[in-house]
Amino acid sequence: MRITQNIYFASTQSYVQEGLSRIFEINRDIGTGVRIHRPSDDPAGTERLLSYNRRLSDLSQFSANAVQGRSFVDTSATTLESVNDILSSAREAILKAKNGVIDDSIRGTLIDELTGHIEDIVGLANTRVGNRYLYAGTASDTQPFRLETNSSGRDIVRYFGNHDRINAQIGPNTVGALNIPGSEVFAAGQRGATRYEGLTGAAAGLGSDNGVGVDRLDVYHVDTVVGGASGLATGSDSAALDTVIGPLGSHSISIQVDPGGQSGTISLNDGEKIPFQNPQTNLLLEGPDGEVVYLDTTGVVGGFSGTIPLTATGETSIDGGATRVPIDFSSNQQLRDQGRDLVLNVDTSNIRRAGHETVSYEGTFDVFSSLIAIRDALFEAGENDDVSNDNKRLNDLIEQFDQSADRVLSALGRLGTLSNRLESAESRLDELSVRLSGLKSDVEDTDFAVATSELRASETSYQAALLLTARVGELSLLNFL
Amino acid sequence: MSLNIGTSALRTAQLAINTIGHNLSNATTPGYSRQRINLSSIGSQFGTSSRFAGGVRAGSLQRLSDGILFRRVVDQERSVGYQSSTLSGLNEIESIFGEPGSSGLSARFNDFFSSLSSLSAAPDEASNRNAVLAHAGSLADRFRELSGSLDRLGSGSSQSIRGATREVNGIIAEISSINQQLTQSVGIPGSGHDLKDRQDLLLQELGSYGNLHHDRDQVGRLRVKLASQEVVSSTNYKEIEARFDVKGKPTLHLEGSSHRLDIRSGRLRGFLDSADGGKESERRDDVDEVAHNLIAEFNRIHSTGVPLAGGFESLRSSYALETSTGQAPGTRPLDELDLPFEILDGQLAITVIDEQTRAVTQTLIDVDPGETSLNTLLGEISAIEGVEARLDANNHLLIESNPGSVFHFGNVLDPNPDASGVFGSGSAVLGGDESEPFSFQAGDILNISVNGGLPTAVNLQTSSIADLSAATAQELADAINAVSSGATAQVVDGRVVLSSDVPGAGSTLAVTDQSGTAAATLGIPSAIANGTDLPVDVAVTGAFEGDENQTFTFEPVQSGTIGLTPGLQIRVLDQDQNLVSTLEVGEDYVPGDPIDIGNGVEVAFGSGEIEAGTGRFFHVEAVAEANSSDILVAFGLNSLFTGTNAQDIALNQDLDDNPLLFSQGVGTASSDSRNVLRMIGIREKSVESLGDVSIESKYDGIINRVGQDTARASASLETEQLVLQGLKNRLEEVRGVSIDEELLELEKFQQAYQAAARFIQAVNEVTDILFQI
Repeated sequence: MRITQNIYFASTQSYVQEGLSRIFEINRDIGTGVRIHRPSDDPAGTERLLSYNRRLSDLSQFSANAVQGRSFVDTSATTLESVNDILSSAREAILKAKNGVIDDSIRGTLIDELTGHIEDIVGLANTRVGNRYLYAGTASDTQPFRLETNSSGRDIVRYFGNHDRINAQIGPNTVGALNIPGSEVFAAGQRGATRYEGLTGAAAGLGSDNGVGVDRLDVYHVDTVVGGASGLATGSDSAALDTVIGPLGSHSISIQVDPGGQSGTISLNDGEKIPFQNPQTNLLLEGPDGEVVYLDTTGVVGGFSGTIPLTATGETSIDGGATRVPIDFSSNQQLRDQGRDLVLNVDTSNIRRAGHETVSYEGTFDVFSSLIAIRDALFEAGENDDVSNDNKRLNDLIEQFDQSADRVLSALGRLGTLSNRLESAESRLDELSVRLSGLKSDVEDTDFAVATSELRASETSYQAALLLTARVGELSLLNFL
Repeated sequence: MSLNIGTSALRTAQLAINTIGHNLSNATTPGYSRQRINLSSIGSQFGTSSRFAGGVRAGSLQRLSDGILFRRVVDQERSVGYQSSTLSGLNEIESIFGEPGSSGLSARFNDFFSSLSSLSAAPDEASNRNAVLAHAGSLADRFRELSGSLDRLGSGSSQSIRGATREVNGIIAEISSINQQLTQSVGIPGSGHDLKDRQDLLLQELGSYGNLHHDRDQVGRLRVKLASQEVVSSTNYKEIEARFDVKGKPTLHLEGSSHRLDIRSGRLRGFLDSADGGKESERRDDVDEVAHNLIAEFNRIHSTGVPLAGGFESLRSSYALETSTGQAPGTRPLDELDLPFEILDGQLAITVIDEQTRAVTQTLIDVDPGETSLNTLLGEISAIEGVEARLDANNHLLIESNPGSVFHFGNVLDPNPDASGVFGSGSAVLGGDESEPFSFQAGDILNISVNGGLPTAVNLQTSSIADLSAATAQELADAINAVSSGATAQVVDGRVVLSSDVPGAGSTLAVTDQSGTAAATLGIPSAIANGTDLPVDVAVTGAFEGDENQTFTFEPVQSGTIGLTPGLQIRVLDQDQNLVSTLEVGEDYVPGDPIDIGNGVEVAFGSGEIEAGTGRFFHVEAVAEANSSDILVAFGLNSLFTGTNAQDIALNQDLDDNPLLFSQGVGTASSDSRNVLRMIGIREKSVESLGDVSIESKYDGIINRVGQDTARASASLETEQLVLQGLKNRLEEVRGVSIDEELLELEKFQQAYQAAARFIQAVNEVTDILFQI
């Protein structure tokens, strides 16, 4: 083989160049810590790398979602804790009102206090974080709870949110709920019987009612007809002020008239007999249960003695009197309030008196309606003196209140569960992320041990090449001539 | 005589030393071939009798080279040239993609999906929504940038070809001019060697451009053929030129010749490949495919969402609806339209919302791309109350709502399916069981009697019904409504339903045959129907989650009052008349409570009376796919992205202008992010037209290809270069100057010169002795 200087130098040049570029590459790998700089460095590795990057990006976003979601859930929980505190002090106030013998001024203070509590809870239920109402479901730009007065004149808190959950992506195929809609937090329980508290004789009918909380059924007297041949007629205030209601014979009047027809005794439903002296055009007669009828005795037949049946028609209303329905004294009369889509099935067969019934739908109380009902009951208790009945009613309502407060507590617990779920998702995601980073690093990262030893080897061979170049360059026949 | 011998020796040695000097001085000259003086002895000048020899003669100056090896070097130069021009293009492609790194498309994808995911967690944050739109925009921008850069790379190759042509022409001219010098130096021994070296060098350079063939004529002039066409002849040369067709694709020709140069390899081939499309256009097509599918997938989901604004007042398709043949688009079937995406045989649901009453009407339009013409479609959309559809001046579809209405293409359930009151109104209702078409006899007369009054006769005759043997329900309803009977007929699902005009418990309705059997044909029962004082409100909520479109029929099992009558039931049938469920609405049902009938649909009944057996029913149209015809994607209605591929993909300008039009939910609640979650689902979705991989996996595959192409080309280049280096070394072995060798030669001739001088001295001395005699 004939070697010329050109061959020799060209080869050495390429060795040196090669050695240097190898060192440069290893240096770059070590310096950047990464071994894939362009796809051609490792095409298959790059493809894997991109998919790892994608998954890592997802994981970090999921984790960010979980963190952000958790702060949201925790804010909701904090708000509910405040609600819970208010519920506790409301309960204290209620017990105070129930137990001791209290005068009207203290009662008024307590009523005001409860009103304040109700407003505070509504305020908290309308808590906003940023632009988002916490308890409006996904209708988060709508104020979810509003305190209104309904058609029967009662305060009511209505819900304007929806029942949906905000689901954040916290895993490849996993979503985590970030909220409990207000309709579940301030929820009513399982519907029970409908109860009538009043003296009209109205009772629950056959079908299902759909009212919520406490409502009011008004029973009005319309017309009284005095039967028989006694000559007795209705008084001038009869239509306006009678409270008797009932089909023929359900109320009766016993009357004994003196032979001259100028006086006598008269009683309603075997109640207290009262004497009368004609002319009486508007005689007030009260029955044993407080029922009232006004009579005109001027035309009574002298010497008449006997029992006269009354027929008294009436009307009912569940919207404060705006719509009145004649009582048909059937075992089930359906009353409707179209405005509220409200249906009330009433057994009207035993309605005997005008007045009003407080209708409560057992189990349908939420914290708002139970507090409002208690407050109103306290207010009404101040108006009449039937202490034992008041206390019984209050006790019932307190039970409803406690149940609804428990549901707030359980919502608080569920928020805790949501928070835990997000937290565990967070740590699971972090773990996954670490593992995936490991896989990614296997593909992408420089193996420093290998790279360093390679660097050492390349340096050595580079130095050897340089040394050799220098040495062999000295070799020339010129040196010996 | 002897002196002559010495002189010849002296002169020869000098010549040889000159040659060595020439060699030594050109030891590093590229392409230089070493030269040797051929020596021969001069034989006796005096015939056979003489015993004296005649000295040395310097023969021809020989150029040491290896023609065959040289040819192989030139060939190899071509391979290296081809690989290196290919590699430089591929390297650029690689840089353009910018992967892996923050400037690549994959990073934009990550940003975009992250922003979507972030929006899912806080759907009501305007900043999150704006971030999604911004990232969608920059994803689209990056696509366009990528496509544009790849495009410019292609046109850059055209520039390279022009440059390469100039260089080739320069070389050709120089080779030819050396040919002329060679002609002039004919007869001067050894004079052409350096010229040939120079030519060889040029040839080597030329060889890297394309497939060459070369030889030398008798006087050593180089003749060169490039791609079998003679570019350099003994006396002349022809330049080559690049010509570009209308699309800018270049071809190479001999100057003034129409004949195309068939360049098969070398640098020129590399540039031609690039300009011809080559890898960058392959990659551009790949990226186009990814963008195309991205547009389709996102638009498919976005278009069926509901914008936060609640609906649209006006929507314009992003694509023009034109036929490729230039025919008026209106009368042509939809599949003749020149659209970027396919229209399928399916349906389109349009939902119109009355903003005042919140009444929702969802209308399903059947679309058969081979049958349905654009005009038919426009007509069907315009037939929906509240919206009008037309083509604008630029042949874009324009749908506009009437004032007070908005529309969208979301998948909603009609919240009030009993708007016609057939099921729950207080009117007396009689409904037919049979569906159209109906076959009547001429002379059939129906009697309609309301509230027990005198019957009103309805004559079924050809003046009102076009074809008596195949009458439609609408024709019949029109015929009934043409006479004033106190009852109104309406068409519900191809059936005819009559209801008394005045509701209430007192109202009755009877339909009988005066002559013929029309009532039986319609399936109307002979019983007298009664009205009621207690109409029933029906409300549907939820979102249908079934897989295919479904029509649920609700009909009472018995008559009674909702929430009161013991055991009262309502039957739910599917469209095949199979029982789906039986709803208990009796004494234990709380009126207004939603009842789940499955697949996400809930129905609530207000209190009131329902009546069985008189054709009282209502339908709930549950739409699984609001856009099964894919027409929204094909037309570009309510799109997220406009454009059709990577070159023109862009964020829909309407969304940029008004982010509230971003359809993030399937309802209008401000935190409804269900459509966002569906969009996130695209990330993992296997797309059929991409070969059942996800959009991004497809892209990853492209990057893999890019890397492999580059890596392979780089490895090939390395191999070819090694081979070239080996061949060059071998050629160098033959023709290269070895300084040591030359020095030894120098020594040798120096000594020869000394010896010759000594010889002359000796001869001289001998001659002197002779003269002294």
